[in-house]
Amino acid sequence: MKYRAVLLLILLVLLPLLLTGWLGYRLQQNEQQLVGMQLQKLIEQQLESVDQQLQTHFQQLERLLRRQASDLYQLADPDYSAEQLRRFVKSSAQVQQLFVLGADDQRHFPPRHQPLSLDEQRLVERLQPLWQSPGLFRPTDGDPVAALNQNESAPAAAAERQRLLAPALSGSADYFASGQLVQRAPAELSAPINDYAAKAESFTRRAPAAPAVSRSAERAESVESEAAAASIAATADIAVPETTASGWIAWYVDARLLHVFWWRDPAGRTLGFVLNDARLLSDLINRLPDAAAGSEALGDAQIRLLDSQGSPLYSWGQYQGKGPALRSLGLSHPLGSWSLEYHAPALQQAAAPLWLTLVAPLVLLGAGLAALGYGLYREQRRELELAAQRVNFVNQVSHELKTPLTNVRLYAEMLEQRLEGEEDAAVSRYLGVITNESQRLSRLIENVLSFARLQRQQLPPAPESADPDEQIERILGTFAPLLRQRGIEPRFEPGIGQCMHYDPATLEQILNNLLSNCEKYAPDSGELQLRSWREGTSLCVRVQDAGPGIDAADAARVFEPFYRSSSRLTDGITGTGIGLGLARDLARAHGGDLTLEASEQGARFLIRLEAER
Amino acid sequence: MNIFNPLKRGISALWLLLCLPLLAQAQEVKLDLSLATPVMTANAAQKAYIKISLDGFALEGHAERTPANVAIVLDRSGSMGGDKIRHAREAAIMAIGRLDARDIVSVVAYDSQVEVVVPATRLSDREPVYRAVRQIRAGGNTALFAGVSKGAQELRKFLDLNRVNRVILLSDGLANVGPQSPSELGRLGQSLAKEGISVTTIGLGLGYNEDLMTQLAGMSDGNHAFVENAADLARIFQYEFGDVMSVVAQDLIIEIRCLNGVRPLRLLGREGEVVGDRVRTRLNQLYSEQEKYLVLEVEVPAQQAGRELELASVQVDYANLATRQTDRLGGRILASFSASEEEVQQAVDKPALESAVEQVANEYSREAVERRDRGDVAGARSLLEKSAEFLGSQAQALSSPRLEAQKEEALEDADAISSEDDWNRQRKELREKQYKRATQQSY
Repeated sequence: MKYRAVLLLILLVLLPLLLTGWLGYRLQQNEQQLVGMQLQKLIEQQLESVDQQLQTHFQQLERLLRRQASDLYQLADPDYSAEQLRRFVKSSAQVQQLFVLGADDQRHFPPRHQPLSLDEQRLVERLQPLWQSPGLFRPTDGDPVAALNQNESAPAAAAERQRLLAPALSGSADYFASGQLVQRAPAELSAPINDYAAKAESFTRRAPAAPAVSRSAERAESVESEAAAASIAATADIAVPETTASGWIAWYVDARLLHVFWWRDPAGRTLGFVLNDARLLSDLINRLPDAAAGSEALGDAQIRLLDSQGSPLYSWGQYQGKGPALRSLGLSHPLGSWSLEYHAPALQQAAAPLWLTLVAPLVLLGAGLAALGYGLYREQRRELELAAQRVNFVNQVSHELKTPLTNVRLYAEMLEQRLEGEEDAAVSRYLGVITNESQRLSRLIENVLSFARLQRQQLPPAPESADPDEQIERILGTFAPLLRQRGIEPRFEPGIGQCMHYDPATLEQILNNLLSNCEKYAPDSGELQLRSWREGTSLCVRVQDAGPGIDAADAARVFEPFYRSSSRLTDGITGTGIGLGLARDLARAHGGDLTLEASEQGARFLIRLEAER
Repeated sequence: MNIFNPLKRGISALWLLLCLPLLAQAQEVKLDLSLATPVMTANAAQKAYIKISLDGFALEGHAERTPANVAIVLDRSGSMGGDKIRHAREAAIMAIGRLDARDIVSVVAYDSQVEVVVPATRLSDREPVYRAVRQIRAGGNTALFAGVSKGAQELRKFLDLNRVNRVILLSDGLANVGPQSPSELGRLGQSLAKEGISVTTIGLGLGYNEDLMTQLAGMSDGNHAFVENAADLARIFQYEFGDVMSVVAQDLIIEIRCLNGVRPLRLLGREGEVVGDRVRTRLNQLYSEQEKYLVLEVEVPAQQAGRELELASVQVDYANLATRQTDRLGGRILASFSASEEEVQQAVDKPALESAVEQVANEYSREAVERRDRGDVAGARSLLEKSAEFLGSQAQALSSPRLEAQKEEALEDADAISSEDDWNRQRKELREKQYKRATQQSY
């Protein structure tokens, strides 16, 4: 009983807590997801703006190099002088080396038939494979400045290109042995140079990254677009009024990434500026924020610039943690093999304060509910204690009543004996009333005490050997005058006729209760039948009256303590309401039961007590 | 008085006129060309050493010095913790203390990331600069490349050929963020040199990469120093700033053209570009009253006795910081040929030969370190012993105490190079020594 109350209270506290917790968690999860998505988007924008900054560098560098290239072209008369080119290389901080290819793709500089410096020799060794693929020197839309038209005809142009390139593919195979092109489709490497003059500017396709071999299947389908390409060439010429083509090439050699800016002079020669890779990186780094600006811009996050091997070149922002990037972005051409990574604490961690906002109210709510629960529990405990005190009080009072009552009974009986023989009917009637009432009172007290003891489970049956028939006879004897007064005639059919091992006090109390109920609820009902028999080891007694009986609806409840059947019956009838329940509990404590049996008239109870032999 | 005044003025004007050419004479770099063996053996192809020596003129007092534009780039990686960073801060503050309002200073500190601690600023108010420097704390990795990049970027804000533009890099560890190979840093130095920026590298302790640091300094013609004990940093910074404040000429482009079939072989100790018969090299700056020289090894074809041959012509273009003009110097190197060995010996130009021998031995020393790196300890040792022997014989022939000292040094190095336990420190010392000898560094 006590534990159930505690359990209920705990449930009362926990259920709303769990419910609100779960709801809050779900809500927060959703919010986090939303925030996460927004964050991802923000991060992406941030990375893109960095990429844009780096692109700006290339654009500015390209403008500078274009200007320098045209200056060099002005100086050329008509050939570029090696002296001037060398002087340019000596003075240019960005450019490591320079080369000039003639319109026929022959190397003009570094000069072929003159002594070269060590640097120039190294350049020739490195770039020989590049020069052997003149198809490289044409603009791509990946170039930062190359103003090229991105119209719907582009796919056709791409198809056209593939068609043109395919036959020459075998020739470019040696490329991959010597150096590795970055962000270029192999197919681009080897377009026939003659077609270039007419169409090159028009080819505005994206450089497809797929290997050429896989594309050869599509080749057959794309034969028709020669005319389309020509028309694009026309529009492209309008779009690019400067006919000088230029572009960027990223070229891997000796595990170094070289960037080459090439520019075609009006005479069709190609100037190639090989950038100083260290300087390029240094300049790019200088475009990026330093630690202070970085932590201001990013807070607890970090952006890292990675090279093609994935090793960090530069980073900014406070966050130092390891682990996978939240987002990474490949850079645009010509830094195609590099990437940017955004590192920050994982989103869950980032939302830690959010957790706090969830947990704190939950804790508060929990505390409030727990306090409420505890208050209720205290209240209930107090009530229970009070009830227990009352029961105790009643017990004590009952005990206190018992002794004087016994005395009353004793003296009443003694008086009866003394007055035996006197014929004063009034006196013996008075004495009878006193005896009956005191007996009734003692039964009542006995009930109250038994009830209290049963509640405390302090009433183990005390079996002894006795003859139940005789006992029943005796009990009926004491009840008979009372019953007869109320117009009930008891009739007993003994069916055992031998001693049994049981607790006579239990049987007596049960019968007392049943008989006094009968006396109370079924007056003037005529015959009250009692029958006893043995059933195996059980002692059975059936009590049937001819009274109004008990409604089927009440049948289940009559045994509940303090329950009293409908007002019709109980009107004007006194009682404690514990009798039947107590009787049944006593029977059960004795290993038997007290049941209400269905009967056509009156109430029929069956007492069954387990009796050892 | 009134009568005398114009007279007085006239006299002082006359004085000025008289003195001007003298002053102009003094404020010019002196080019000195010499041949180690001005008289050469006839009828045999042979090697000859040309010494091209440049002397910085004296500055006209403190007020005249060239303003500086300095970026101090400090390593504040985790390994710099404790005393090292404290000494570095103090050294930087003390060095900045020598500069004045003419100068521009910036301070960059790097660990895993780079922070511009003091953006390029004119030194009119020192306190904020000192305060910022004092706040530098150690911790993290070594993003050396990015540190130098940002330092150079700060210089570029006030880049001017009439200023001494210099990055002073202090590092005690291996670059481990971003580019980290000597050649990459060398290329960065090369590019910076083209802008007139030189990088002085100071290696602190035993953890740094001396090849990277000497390459970076060498390619940009800065100084290099190995400081084992952080307490010496202040002294080194003092020397370095002394150098910075005594620059008299910048951007010296030296072009040597070999004539009459003479073939240039190599430039000893310095980076140079050899194209055919031409050699070009560049010095970023020349310090006041200091000699810098190059030794060019050439091959001279066989000549008849009695002949006089022009071996090479030299041309030097440079920015004179005193006059703020570009000046050009030129000269020729002549050799005569004789059959008499005695005549050849007698004509020997002692200082020139001394320098040539010094540089040749220095090349041996470099090669010895390279051999040692490949694991050939014995080869390295024997090379140094050979170098000592060569130095010894030349010292005797020239009766030069300097070469004698260098010989002793080579013998010590031979011992050092074969010792296993202290090689890291020895290597740093050797590299520093070689670097200083090759570039005639003043400290």
